[in-house]
Amino acid sequence: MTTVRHVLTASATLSVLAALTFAAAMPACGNTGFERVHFRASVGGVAHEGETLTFETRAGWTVTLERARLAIGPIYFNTIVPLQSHATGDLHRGWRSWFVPIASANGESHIGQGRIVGEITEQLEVDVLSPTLQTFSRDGIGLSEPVASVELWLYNRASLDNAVATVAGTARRGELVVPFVGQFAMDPADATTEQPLDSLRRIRGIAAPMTLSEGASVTLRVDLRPAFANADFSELTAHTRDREGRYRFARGDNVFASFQAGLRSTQGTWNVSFTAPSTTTR
Amino acid sequence: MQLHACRASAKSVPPFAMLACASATWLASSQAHAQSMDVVVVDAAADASTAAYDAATAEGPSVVASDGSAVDASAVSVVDAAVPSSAPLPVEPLPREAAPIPPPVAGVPAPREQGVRVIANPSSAPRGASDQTIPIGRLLEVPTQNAGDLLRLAPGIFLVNGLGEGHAEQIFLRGFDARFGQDLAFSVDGVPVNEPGHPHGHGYADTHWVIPEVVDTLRVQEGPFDPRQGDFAVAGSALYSLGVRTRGARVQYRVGSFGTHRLVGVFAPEGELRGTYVAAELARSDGYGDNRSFERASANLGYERVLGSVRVRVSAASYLTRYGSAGVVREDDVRSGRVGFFGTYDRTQGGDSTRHGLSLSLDSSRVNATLWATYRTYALRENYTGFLLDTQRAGQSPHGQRGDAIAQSNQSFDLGAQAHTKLRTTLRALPQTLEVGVFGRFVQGDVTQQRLRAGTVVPYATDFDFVPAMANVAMYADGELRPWWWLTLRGGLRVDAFHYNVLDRCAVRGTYVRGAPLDAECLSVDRAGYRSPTSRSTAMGLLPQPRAVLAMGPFAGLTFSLAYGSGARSVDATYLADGERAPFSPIQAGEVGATLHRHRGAWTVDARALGYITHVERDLIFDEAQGRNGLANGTTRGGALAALRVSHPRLDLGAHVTYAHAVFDDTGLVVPYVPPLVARVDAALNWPLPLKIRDRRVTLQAATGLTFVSPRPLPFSEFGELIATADANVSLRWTHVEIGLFCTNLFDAQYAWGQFNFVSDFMSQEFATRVATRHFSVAPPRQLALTVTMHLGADAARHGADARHTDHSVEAP
Repeated sequence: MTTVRHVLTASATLSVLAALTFAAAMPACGNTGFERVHFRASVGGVAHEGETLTFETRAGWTVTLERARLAIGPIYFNTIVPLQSHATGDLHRGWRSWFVPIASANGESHIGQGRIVGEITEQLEVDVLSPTLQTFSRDGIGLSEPVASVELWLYNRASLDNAVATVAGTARRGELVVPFVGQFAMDPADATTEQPLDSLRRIRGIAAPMTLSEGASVTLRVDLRPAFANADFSELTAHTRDREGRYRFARGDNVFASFQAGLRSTQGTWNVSFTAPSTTTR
Repeated sequence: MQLHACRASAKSVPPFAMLACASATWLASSQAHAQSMDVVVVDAAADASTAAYDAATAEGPSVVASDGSAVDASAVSVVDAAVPSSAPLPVEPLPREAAPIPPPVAGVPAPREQGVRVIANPSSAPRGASDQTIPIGRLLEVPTQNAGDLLRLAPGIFLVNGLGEGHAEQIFLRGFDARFGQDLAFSVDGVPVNEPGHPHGHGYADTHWVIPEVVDTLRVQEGPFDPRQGDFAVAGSALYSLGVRTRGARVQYRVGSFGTHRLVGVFAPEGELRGTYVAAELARSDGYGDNRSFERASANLGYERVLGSVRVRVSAASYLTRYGSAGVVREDDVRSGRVGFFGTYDRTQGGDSTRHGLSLSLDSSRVNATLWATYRTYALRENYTGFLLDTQRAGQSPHGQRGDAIAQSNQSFDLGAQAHTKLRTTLRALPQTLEVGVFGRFVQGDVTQQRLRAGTVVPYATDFDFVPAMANVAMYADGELRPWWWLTLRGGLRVDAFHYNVLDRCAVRGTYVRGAPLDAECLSVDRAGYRSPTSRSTAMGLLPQPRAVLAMGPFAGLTFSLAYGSGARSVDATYLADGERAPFSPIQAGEVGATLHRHRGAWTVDARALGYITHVERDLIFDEAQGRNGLANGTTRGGALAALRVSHPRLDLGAHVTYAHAVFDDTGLVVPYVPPLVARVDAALNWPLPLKIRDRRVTLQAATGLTFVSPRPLPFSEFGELIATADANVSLRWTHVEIGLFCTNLFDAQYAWGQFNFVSDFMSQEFATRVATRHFSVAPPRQLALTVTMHLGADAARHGADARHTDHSVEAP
């Protein structure tokens, strides 16, 4: 009986001790930081009147875009802060450059790769002449971690004649009227030792300060006006017209160069806005 | 009854040994169950009380006849002779030694009863409430695939193996994701198993070469509270002791699901010590799901002999395996059907491994020494991230993603020795001891990691190519001070010295030097011009580690303890820079708890409860890009555990539950991947049925193991899935023959072993994926197997001869 009593007493002591230690430990919970979120993303052109977009360029051309379709996506949200480079041309930096040199690495205006914390792994064919937003069919996935910039990865699309973008329009300067058409496509053969295909494919550093949250909305507006800012359409008249009577711009043309540079520009062409879930109507 | 043997021996032993015998005599005469106990007998050269205490509280003595032959271990029990006769005498026999000697059976030789002596035990006294020596006993009947699985008997340990049958288990213990051994120091018969500088993780520990049937005891020391604990004892140590108690021969064949076959034979010659055995294992399986087949062959040999006052033990092992691995799959791909739950992205994943080792142990009453030599080869191909990391860099020809598959390989020689001696004295008639030990180990490896073209075994880049040589010399002093019978202070100081000499055979990599040829690696040019493509780094560090345990008791079998320990994990050779002091990962740990040991009749109860806290200065956390752990910031983990073991010749029950909470020091965020709650129940039943055939009774043996693991925290505030599984084993034995049914994952739960949140791109979706997402490696589905076992030898011949003695031929737990 004594032994049994000892065992019972000891067991009770152990039980109390175990209960106390567990009770002390249990409240300590927590998390591993940030959360996975889902958000909606839409793409559209800039607001304007009519079905065509007419604008004046820096070179004095009046351009009317009659067709402009882009393959948008995938889109990635990066933690890296976009830095200004000579290439992107921050004309307002002025005297500050004397004191704070512009940082750049590998010609990408970025130091480091950053970290992707949001993505939309889908492609949409978007009529960027229409301000009506087209929404990706699947929600984007992200982390509730501050985003600083957006990356667009350029992939050709079969329905766009295996191009990323196709445009058609008319440029006028004085008496000269130049109907034009053209496209921009990714060509793996463009990859070189210095410019890997991954690098060519990406438009990095589109400013997008936001913190993704569940149910939020991200809107991307595409404005092609800067893509023709430096184009001299008169050069195209040396080409022969196509069946529609338009001059086709191609690699080697300044119009193509301007269009490509405009597409790749991180300022002006692409504008990202964020709407928190509280003000989102779903 | 061997009481008279003790009295006879006592004439020639020192006074303290006399006290031991006197206490034992008092005990034997005063305890009602004395008839089932015999008194400890000690070598006249040894200190009776210490030897008895060691034997009682740790592994237990080796019992040999005066001519050096083995004596049935059940004939000997031990008592804590340190307790004065005026105090209530705690009875601390080893559970496995509680069984009475079976009476002779006609035609079967009976165990000899004669003068015996105890060779001093090499194990140290228990350190804290979480130091547990687990007699495997009948719990081996719980479905066990390998020796590593036996760790599940220890509180708080959760094992997963998502990388293939031949790969070491990933270990979770008390808030640590010890990966494949980085935080848990393994040893087998005193030979360290963890491999420093291993390409798959510093401290990789593979125990698959140990045949589980020859594991005698497993001692798990959770926390670094013992000065004997060396490198990698961050979360604790697991010490396997090999031996076969049930003498005779046993051959078992298992055939089961997925084309699994296993043949194991254990031969333990009668009349020899338990360290003498020969065991061999052959196993193969097609594996569940895709790419999980394996083949394995292992041989374990031991020879133990007493020569004069020295016990000599030689062990040898040889092991070969080849295995496939399914790796990880993305949860979104599984849900969308792009890959099956048991599928794989890359069928080239898998590996092979060999190990050949030899060790020699010399034990006398005063000195214990172990020497070893081991040769290992290892190769693994794995791919955690798919096509993510191979972006074109400067100096490379244009290329797309060629695949992130990693091929790791290693060959290593491991030579070492350790020895310790004990100095003994008495103070106020209580034993006081001081153990002094030394340890030396030299490991030289040949380590490479390369990237493979997708779907092939063709390497296209070298991540690293090292020849690391690591030497570890340690010495320690470990005292045991007993000012009163109820108070014991154990502890001392351990000093480890590590020296590294690393030859980097690919010192210039990952950086492009203008003018160098394209796509070249391991360049012989840098910005300053020509250079040798190799470089050598050396480093050294010293680390003192104080450790102490204060124990109070036993009071009616209940002992309270308070423990503190400082430990360290040596640095991975990969991180060394020339001339640096080796940057250790120091840890501090503390523990408070209580243990209860009671023995009544054939019943033995062992229970413990404790709370603990551990701080790691530089932790290692899983990095999918490297396929191994990478350095992280400091972490602190705390928690509590409770464990119970109830043993009886007919029933063996073990249960434990552990809570752990681990956080990063700088952010307070929870350390991912570590399950907060782990619970396990193991039970084994041995029951004679009312059925006799040819006058021999049929016995039923049944065992089950239940596991519960709470959802694991994953990166980005997510939690994994709850795991609840059951394994079972049922068999019927009639004399020499045993037929059983073996089942793992009884309820066929579909669950993930490894669960991760990281970035991958397996090109399974239209566009590249760059946000961390859920991945998992899949646990096996239900597997059934039929086992047929032949038992040979005298013990087997006695089996079922009489219901009263049925269980004696099966080793008592």
